[in-house]
Amino acid sequence: MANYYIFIGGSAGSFQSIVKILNSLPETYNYPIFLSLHRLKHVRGGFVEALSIKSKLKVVEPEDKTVIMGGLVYLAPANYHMYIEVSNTIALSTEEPVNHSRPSIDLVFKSAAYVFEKKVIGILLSGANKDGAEGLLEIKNYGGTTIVQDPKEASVSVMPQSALDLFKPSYVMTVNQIIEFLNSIYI
Amino acid sequence: MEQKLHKQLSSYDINLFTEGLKRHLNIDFTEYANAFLRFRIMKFIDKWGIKDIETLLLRLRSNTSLLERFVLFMSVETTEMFRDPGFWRVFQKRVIHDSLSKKDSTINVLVPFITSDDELFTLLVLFEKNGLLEKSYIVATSPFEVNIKRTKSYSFTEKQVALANENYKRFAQNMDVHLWDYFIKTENNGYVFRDDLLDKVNFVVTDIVSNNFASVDRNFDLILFRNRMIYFNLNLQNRVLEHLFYHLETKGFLVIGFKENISSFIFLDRLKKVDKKEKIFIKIK
Repeated sequence: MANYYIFIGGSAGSFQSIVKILNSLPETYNYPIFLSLHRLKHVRGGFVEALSIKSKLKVVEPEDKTVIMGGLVYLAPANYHMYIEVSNTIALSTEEPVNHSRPSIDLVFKSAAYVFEKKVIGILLSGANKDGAEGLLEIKNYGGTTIVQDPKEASVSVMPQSALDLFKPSYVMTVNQIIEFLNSIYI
Repeated sequence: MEQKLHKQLSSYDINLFTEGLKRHLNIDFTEYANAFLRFRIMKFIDKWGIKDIETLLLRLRSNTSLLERFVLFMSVETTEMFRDPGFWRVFQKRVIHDSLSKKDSTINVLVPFITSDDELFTLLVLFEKNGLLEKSYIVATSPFEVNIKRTKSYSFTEKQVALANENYKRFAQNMDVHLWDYFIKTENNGYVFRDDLLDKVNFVVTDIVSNNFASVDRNFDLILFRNRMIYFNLNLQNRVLEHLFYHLETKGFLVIGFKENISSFIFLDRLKKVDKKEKIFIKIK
């Protein structure tokens, strides 16, 4: 079991931030990272490759019931929801969109909160709808750490602002501060 | 600023509930995926304003109409016709053109665990367009009769038909084609799928795992089973696959979802993937 499980959600305007975060983590970074990003449902390929260009960590799109391993970046596949299972695996679903989104950030955050509790670090970045805010609150309620990108820095502030309207997270940070934080918890 | 604690259903609660459903109502969700059950049951409870999971079980035991709605709700619909247009292009080439259309005898097809069911409708369109319907024997099964009823009388919204058309254009890589002639407009502005195609399907209520296809008397050249296993736990996935495998003809096709995983299936070495990307397998022995 890892010490931390890092969950990052984002939508419009978050791609460059994600790339910057992944590129700034060392190849020995051994916490699993999960990305739930709103993306075009018809485009099944290309996203992993785009994220992998400069990332030192391996980015994969998990299959259903994939066992979670440290040091990997799991990108929620297009047109599937991603859940965390109690058996330390990833489950996928084609249930109806949540907040018009599949994958939904709320669903993966909530399922992670239940399974990993205080070991979860939830990060919500730029985006144009409120998906992720409730899930981030769930992470807080289960004892995890919550980080919201500073809406002043976000390209589209609706998503981080929705979380701030709902509750007070552990931190409001710029992308550089998020990178610093993620590196600081890695031993 | 509200900060209420949303208490999620525990695995213990879920186990008690699914065991109760099985014992009292003979409805078996005991081996469905835990996270799916946790969120799906909670969503139903919220939707119907039910106090808690114990009350839900009591109400399901006494209210047939609510039970029917619950079973339908737990049977996730398959999103849209021609979902993953690129998959259907490969399917048409590798399965229909390269194999099934060359077969002289009856083509036996199984679509198990149907829900609403867009996969079945898509298959019917493709078989009709490729002239295979008349020589095919298509079986669609569900453990729950309500799913078969829903499929037979499924009412599409205009938006769903428009999405089917959009996917079909992507599939055909031709913006001038459409599927409107496969639908009939109803009085309440919905759309139903053409009866003459649905009449080609033999609908069977059967639980593949518990009764081992007792009411299905043949093996199949094609089993279309996309994005249904993801709702099962690993044990149930493997048991269902085993039953399907036994009813698949040698050189028959097993088709599963793009992100479904059969790496722990005991007869994996007897299946061969026919495409690099899509999960289309052929039974080799």
